[in-house]
Amino acid sequence: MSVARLLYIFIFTIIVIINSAMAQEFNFKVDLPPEFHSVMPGDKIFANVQLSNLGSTGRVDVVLDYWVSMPDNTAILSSSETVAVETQANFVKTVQLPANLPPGAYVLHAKITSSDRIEATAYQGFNVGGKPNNMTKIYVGSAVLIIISIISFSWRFVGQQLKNVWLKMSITRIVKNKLKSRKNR
Amino acid sequence: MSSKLVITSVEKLQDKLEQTVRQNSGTYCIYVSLNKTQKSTEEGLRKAGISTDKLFFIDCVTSEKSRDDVLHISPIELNMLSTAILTFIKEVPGDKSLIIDALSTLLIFNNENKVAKFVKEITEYASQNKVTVIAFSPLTKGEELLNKIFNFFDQVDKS
Repeated sequence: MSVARLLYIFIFTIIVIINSAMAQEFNFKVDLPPEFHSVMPGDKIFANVQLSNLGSTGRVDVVLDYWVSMPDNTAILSSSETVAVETQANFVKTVQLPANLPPGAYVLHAKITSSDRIEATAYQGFNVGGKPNNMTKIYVGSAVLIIISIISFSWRFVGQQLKNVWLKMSITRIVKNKLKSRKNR
Repeated sequence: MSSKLVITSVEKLQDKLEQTVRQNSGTYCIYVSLNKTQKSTEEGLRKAGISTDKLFFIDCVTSEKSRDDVLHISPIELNMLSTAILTFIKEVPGDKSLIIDALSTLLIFNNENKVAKFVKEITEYASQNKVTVIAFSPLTKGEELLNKIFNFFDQVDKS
């Protein structure tokens, strides 16, 4: 084998090693804090996005795509942004949920795409609960008012009854004492 | 047994009261004092030589309890006053009379309709229990009330 051939193999090996290092997958994570695991329609959720092991030595631009999917995997909202990152980065992504979102299990997806077209995805699920509608609020409000009125009325009624009992007892005592004192004279 | 509404001038009111108490001194009397304190009423009667031994006082002027045999009720609490009068009527044995001095004072604390309702309740109950009711009112006060209530009394003495 000639020296030139050996040198060619060596350079080729180095290039392959460098390329494979560049092509290594990102460490990419989306984390929803526990308070956002169960939310209501119209709420805002805040997701922590962690990105590391970018493989680049300098500042690079990456595209971050986000979307929320329904249980049947239909995306209901999405957004995209380009951010400049170095070897690692942390973001807080705010997602405003629609007010008319039906209750159910949803998934927040995130995808990162580097300028070299290297992609990584991450996701986390969360639940959307049923928000009380206006009629429910009216029923609950009315029930609370009725309960308060009943308690207030009962309290006044019982108070009045106790006063009457006390009054009658006082009068009985007054009459009894007066009759007794007249008899003793 | 009857009920009487005495409408008289302020000057004659005390004389009329003393005369009425004297006339009923043989029986027990429930005296509702709305114009004067029980102490002052009792002093006035004693000065006039009238025994107060058979009087049961309901003092609606003072709230301070000075004697155990006197009941203090605020004139605002017409229901309580009514309950007290009805209870006295029930508890006091034998013939008895009820004197209200003076009805129109209740108008300071209550509206006319409430007072009229109170008068109707008292006169009705007294009539059922054969109790003589004599209510006083100064001539100058509460004419509208007097017009509303005079029907509840068997007699109206206007002098």
